[in-house]
Amino acid sequence: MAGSNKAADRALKMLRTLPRVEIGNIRPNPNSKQPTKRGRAQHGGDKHGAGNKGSGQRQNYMRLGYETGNTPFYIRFPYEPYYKGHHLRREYPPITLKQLQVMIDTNRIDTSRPIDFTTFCNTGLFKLNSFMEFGFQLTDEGLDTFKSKVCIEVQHAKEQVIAAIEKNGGVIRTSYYDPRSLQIMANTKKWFEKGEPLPKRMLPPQDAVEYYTSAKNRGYLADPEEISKERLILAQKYGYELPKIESDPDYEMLTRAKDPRQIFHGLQPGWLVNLVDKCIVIPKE
Amino acid sequence: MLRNLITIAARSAIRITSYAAPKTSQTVRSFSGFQNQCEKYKLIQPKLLQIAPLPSLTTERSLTKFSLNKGKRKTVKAVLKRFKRLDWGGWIRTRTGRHKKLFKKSNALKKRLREHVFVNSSQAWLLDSMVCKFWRRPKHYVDDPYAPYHQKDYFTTSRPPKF
Repeated sequence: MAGSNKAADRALKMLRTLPRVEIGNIRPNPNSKQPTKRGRAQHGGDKHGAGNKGSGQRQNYMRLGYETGNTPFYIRFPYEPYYKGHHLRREYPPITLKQLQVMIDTNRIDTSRPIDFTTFCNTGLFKLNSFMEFGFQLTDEGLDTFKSKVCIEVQHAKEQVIAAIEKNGGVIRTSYYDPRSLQIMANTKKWFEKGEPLPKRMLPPQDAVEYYTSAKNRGYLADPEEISKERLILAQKYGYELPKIESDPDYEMLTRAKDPRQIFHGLQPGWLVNLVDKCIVIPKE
Repeated sequence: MLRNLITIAARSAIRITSYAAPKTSQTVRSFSGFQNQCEKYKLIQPKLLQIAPLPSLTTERSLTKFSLNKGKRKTVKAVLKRFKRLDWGGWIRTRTGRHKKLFKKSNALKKRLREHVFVNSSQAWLLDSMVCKFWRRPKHYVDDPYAPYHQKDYFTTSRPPKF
């Protein structure tokens, strides 16, 4: 027993001085390597999958779309400005009224507080996929079955959608957010963890000013008196009785609106949210 | 060495002339705006400049699989000038000769030429692989005239998933 222990000790001692097994000092198993050369005639022979004669044997793969001398298909037809000015066109991914109703019914969205871009992102069902997307538009699918009183802010909405919201006693507003503000609203926690003061929300670009200052579109830069007038006109056009917001118990919630420079409800630009100490730092001036 | 350089220079000069010579009429047509400007400043311009041939550029319209800077695939712009991708994966195109010799074409033919048609599936595959991911993503424009064509919900297999 003692002798065998000694032998083991000696073996271990020798092992300590030997180099470790690593990538530099190992070799492949015998006969495990394939030869890299394609042998000809008696040295392997045959065509090796490349075929007999011609283009296939020479393996000259033609470039994509090339038709060996014909005018290629992809340059055969006359121009058409399908994508003209695409780099300037803002995209608004759609959210339907039906989807909104489903999210309210399944408690993904709380109607007791104003709904905005952050609310949609927090449901986990919607997100922006591209730098060309500037928020969500509310579309008219499920218009007849929509039955919720909401205070909602989207980036674009059609007339019939506005009518559907207002018919149920709700308030809709369309507003513009610049890409940076959208980023902040989409990843709220990530932004607050940075520990930077909230920036100002930018005003809309020149081609969007007309839309967001129009009372017909319920733009956030429109005159509130004009908007209340337009609400009445739309009710008459679509033939429903406009519910009175003034006598509504949720009047305060329904009329809560952001400043054009504000990103979050209750937080002003320049304020800093401290997630560690759970407090808001407000500058003196 | 010097002789070599000279021969190369001579060769390139020949090449330039051979490229430029047959294309002069075309370049004049395509740079009509430029020509108008020339006419405006005719009095000031020295005569030598007018004789000199306009530089002709060769266009590269093949696919770049690995770009020099980032090693990324590049979109073939010639495709985007002629075709439009629909969200369900189909592509539409115009028809050849739709502006040519309309005086001798019948009304029915002229109507057919005004229409936009689908490409077939292998052509759609070709065009899909000639553009990058950005163009294969659906675009949600407001008031898009192509909006009705972007969804194909009359086949159960191609219907978009329910919310």
